[in-house]
Amino acid sequence: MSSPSLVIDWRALLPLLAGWLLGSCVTDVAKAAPLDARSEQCQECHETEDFSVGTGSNGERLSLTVRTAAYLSSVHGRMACVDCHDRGYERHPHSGPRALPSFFCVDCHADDPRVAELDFPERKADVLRSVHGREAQHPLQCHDCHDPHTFRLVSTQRELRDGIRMSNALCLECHDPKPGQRAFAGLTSAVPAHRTIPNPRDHMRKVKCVACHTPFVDNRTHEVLGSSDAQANCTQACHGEEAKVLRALYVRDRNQGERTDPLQRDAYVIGASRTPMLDRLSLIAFAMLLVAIAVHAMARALAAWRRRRA
Amino acid sequence: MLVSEEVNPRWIRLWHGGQAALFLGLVITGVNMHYVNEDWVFVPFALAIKLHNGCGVLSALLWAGFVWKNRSSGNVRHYLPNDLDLSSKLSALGRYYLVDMFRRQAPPPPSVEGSKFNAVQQLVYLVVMYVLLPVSTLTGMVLLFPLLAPQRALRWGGLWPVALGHLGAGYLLSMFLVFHIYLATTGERVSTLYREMLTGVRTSTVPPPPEEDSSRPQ
Repeated sequence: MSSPSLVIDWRALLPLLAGWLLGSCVTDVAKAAPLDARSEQCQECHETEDFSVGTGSNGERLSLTVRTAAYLSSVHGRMACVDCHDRGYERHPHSGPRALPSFFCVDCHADDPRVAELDFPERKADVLRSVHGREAQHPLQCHDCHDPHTFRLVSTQRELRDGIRMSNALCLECHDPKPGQRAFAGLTSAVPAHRTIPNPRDHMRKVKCVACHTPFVDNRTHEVLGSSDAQANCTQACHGEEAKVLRALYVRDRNQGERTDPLQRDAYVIGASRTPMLDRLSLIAFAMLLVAIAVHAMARALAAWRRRRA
Repeated sequence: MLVSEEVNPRWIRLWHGGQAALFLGLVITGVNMHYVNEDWVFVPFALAIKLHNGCGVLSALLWAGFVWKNRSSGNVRHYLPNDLDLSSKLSALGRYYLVDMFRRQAPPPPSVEGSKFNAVQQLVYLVVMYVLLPVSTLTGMVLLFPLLAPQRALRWGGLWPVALGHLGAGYLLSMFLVFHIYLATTGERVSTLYREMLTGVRTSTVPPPPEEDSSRPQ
């Protein structure tokens, strides 16, 4: 009797494939649906790539492009444009301010229970204490790094690596400009500044910039420190058993919603990721080897002594 | 009568010396990196990383050179056992190191006629040179360029199995190093085998050939 064989008729899968494709389209339509009619009008112009205006005589330009898909997947994606841009934007050309207004997240979310965990008042205080907030020419505010049109929480990323990439992209947009992209005058370029670290590019892909450029305090990731104050002690920060910075930044297990130690599972960090059992076993094996050698050497010495006496 | 023969040509001596120095550097810096928080660690972490990486790359190049030269010169024959029936040879060697050595008796003959190595040496050197060193080198290369590692391995980060492989191979190689240094003192004198590796020449005493008997009829 021949054994039954599994034969897949690929034609039978076509309806499934069609359904999946249709589902994808429907999902896209569903994502696009929340944009209200008034905002759709705004997007007729603001969807345009490289749409920008000059903000002053120094040649700086303010980008006015808002990508609809990115906006809809951002934390503000359910809001209408006029919820924030409420005055001076009714007609063309807009009479609203050309420079971005001064505001911090806390200005809108002062008593917002949905974001209470983020503690925006404290984040504002962190920014003002940071090297960015103390900048004399142009002290940074939240939206200088976190574009409200695209902002998503790093903590919502399932994969640690995606969260790191997203977090570092905020810093590297200014501190590691791409070819053809203009660096801001006076800004430190990240790669040359980290030449003393082995594999600086890899570090930037695997470690959040704020791991070293913030104080050793849990959640003070917005009190950005300049190069002279940043953590330069590799072993204290990450490559030691204490690994203060790593544990302060990467301890939350996003999937489980509980605090776990990522050094025991997610990341291997030289000096910090130790396996006590393996360490103990290796030390025991070494000790046994040394004892065996010592006993053998003594027996040889004793045999030689006896031969000399005989 | 003293007879001298070259047992280690120049390239083996140069390779062995380089490998020994790099091996020692790798062990010292590797231990400093792994046990970074212990009080007895004496090489600063950042320096240890750089030295370890440098020694690792040089060691990989040296290993590749050894494999090539070992094959092209035919020296590889010393490493290859002629049969897999090792039990009798290993028990004879075990008896020699644990009993006969103390009675100044001669070691068992080499595993293969004309080979420099006995059965234990063949087995250990084969595993060290063709298993542990490649494992250590390849895993070290992945640790040097960690983005080469898979993102995940089962439920763990992808670098974990690589790092454990590197660590395990490192431990075994370190134990080999200690054992090798000790066994090198078990020649005729403590320094005999060290001198052999430095000069390449083995000097042994052989009985003089019997004198020709002139009274024998031609």
